[in-house]
Amino acid sequence: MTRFEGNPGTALLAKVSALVPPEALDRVRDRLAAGLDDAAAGLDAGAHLEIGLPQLRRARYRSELLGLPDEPFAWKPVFVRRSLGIASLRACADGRFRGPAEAVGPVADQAVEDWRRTGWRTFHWEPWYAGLGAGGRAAVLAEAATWATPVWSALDWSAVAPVAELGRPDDRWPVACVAGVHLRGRFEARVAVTGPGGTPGGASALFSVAGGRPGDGWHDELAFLAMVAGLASSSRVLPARVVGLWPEAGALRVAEIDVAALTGAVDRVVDTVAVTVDAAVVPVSTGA
Amino acid sequence: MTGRARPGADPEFVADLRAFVEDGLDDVAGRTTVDSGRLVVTKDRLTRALACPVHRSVDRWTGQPDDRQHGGADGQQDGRSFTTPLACGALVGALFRQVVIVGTVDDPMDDALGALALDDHQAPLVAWIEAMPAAERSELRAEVDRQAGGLLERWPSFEASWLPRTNETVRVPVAGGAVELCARVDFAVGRPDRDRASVALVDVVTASRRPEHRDGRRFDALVETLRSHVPPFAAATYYSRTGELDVDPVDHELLIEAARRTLAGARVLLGAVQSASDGSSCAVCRALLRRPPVVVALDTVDPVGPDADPARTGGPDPVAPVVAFPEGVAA
Repeated sequence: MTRFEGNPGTALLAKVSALVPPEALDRVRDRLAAGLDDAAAGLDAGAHLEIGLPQLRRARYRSELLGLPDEPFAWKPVFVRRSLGIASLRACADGRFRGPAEAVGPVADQAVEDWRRTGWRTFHWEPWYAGLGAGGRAAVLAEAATWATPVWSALDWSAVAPVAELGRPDDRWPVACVAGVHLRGRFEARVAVTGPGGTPGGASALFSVAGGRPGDGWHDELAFLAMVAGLASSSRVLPARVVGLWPEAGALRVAEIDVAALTGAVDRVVDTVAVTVDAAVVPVSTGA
Repeated sequence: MTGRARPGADPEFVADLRAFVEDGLDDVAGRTTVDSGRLVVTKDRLTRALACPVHRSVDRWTGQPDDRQHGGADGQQDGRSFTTPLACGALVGALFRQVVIVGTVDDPMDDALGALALDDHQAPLVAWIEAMPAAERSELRAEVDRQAGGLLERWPSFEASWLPRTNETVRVPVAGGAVELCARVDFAVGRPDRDRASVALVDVVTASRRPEHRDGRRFDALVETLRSHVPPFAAATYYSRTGELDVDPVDHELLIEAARRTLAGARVLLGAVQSASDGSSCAVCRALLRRPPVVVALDTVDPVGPDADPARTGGPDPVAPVVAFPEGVAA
C-alpha cells in the first residue's frame, strides 16, 4: 500500500498564490498554431489525431510503439478499472462504503441494473460486464479495487469530498488551425481551492492518477491537463495547480500553473504531433 | 499475523536503506540497459540471476537437473513451459483474487478460466488448458477444486476498512532511473500509516516450499519499504496446496539482507558480475556470503533436507551428482 512522500491532500487543497490571467490562453492558441503548422504538415487529409496524456507519454518514452498498429478494441478489466474505481470512490466518499473493495461490487451491480432498466449506459461497459461469468466479474472488480484503493487512502476525504468533482467527462478541444487534431485532457478530480484573495472556491486544482512512475516530462504532462481544461472551458478559467499521483511508485508531483508551465505544455504537444506524424501513425479515439 | 506489536516507523533507517541500495548501484546510473532504457529487477529475475551454475544445475532435494527456469521450445510463457502445476498456479491465483474481492466461488475451474480469459497474456495458457487430454484436465480440475476449498476455508472476509487489494504493483526507481525494482504483490492488507508499520504482504504459491519464496517475499518487503518509506510489518507466503503460511516479521535485518541480495542480483543482471562456471563458487555466492556447494557422488552422502525422502520425491537419479549443502547454509 502506498504512503506518499508528501501529503497529496495538503498539496491539492493548498491556497493558491497567483492565477494565470485568461489572456494567457490566447498566447497558448497562437503558440500552438505556430508550432503545429510545421509539425502537422505531414498529416493526411481527413486523419484524426487525438493528443492526450497517453500520446504525450508514448511519443516521449516509448516512441518505438508509435509504429505499431492499434489492436481492435475489446473490453478488458484494465479499461474498466478507472471508471468503476472513480464511481466506487464517490460511493465511499458519500459514506456508503468503508473502502473500495467493499464498494466495487455493489456499484457495478447498480450500473448494470440501471442499464437494464433504462437502456442508458453510463459507463459503456455495462453489457459486457453483465455477460461475464462469476470469475470474469471478480477479475474486473479486483482490478478496480486495486486501482482505487491507493487513491482512497492517499486523501483525507472529509476535507476533499465537499469541494471535489470526481470523474467528470474528459476535456476536448479541437485545434482550430489544424484540421483533425484534437486535444483531450483526462483527470480524476477537479477541486475548488482558496484563491489568491483568500476567496474559498476562487480557484481550482486538478488531480491526476497515473500508472508506472513519473518520467522526466511529468511537469509538462500535468500542465497539459490544465491547458486543455482552460482551452475547453467556456469561462476561460485555467486551473491553478495540477497534482499528479503515481501510486505504483509512491510518487507525488505538483505543477503550479503559470505561463512557463503552459509554454512547456504547448511545446510538448508540438513535439508529440511531430513525432507521431513522422511515424505515420494516427491514433483514433476508441471512445473507451 | 505475527503476534507482535506493530513496529514504529524509522525514517532514518529507511533513508539509510535507500542510500545503501543507491550506493551499491551508483556506478550504473545513466547506463543504457534493457526494458526501454532501464533494467527492471523482479524477484523472478533475481532468482535466476543469483542461482550460480552449481546451485542452479541440480535441484537441492531431488538431485535432478533443475531446468524449471528454462522452458522447452513448445508452449512457453515467460520462458516457462506450460505444465499442469503452472496451470494450477495461474488458476488458483485468479481464484484467490475472487475469494478476496467477492468471498464466494461458483465453479472453481470455470471461474478461474473466466478470469484468465480476460488477460491477453494468459491466452496461450488458457488455450493449452482447454486442449488438455480429458484425464489430465480432470486431475487439474480436482486439484483446483481442492485448493479453492482451502482458500474459502482459510481466508476470512477482510474488513473493508483494512483496504484489502490484490495484484498490487510496486515500483522503485534507483540509480537515477537506470534500474527499477518492481514487485507484484499478490495480496496486501492494511491502511498505510506514517508512524508505524501497518501493512502486510502475502505471496500466494501453489508449488512446494522453496528457498526463493522466502527471498521473494523479502524482496517484496524491501520494495514496499523503499516506495512507502515505512516497512510492512509482515511478509508472508501462503502455500495453497497445503494451506501453510510462512510469515516473516519485517525488521531491519531482513531488509538489509534483502537489499544485499537485490544488489548482488541487479549487478549480475547488469553484467557487472560474471557468474563462474567452474562449479566451485561464483561472485554472487561470495557477495551473498553463501558458501559454495560441495559436489559429491551420490553414494557418499545421505540425502539432506526435509523433502529429501526418496519415497516422496521419486528418488534421485543414482548416476547424477547431488549437491550437499554444508550444515547451516541456506541455498
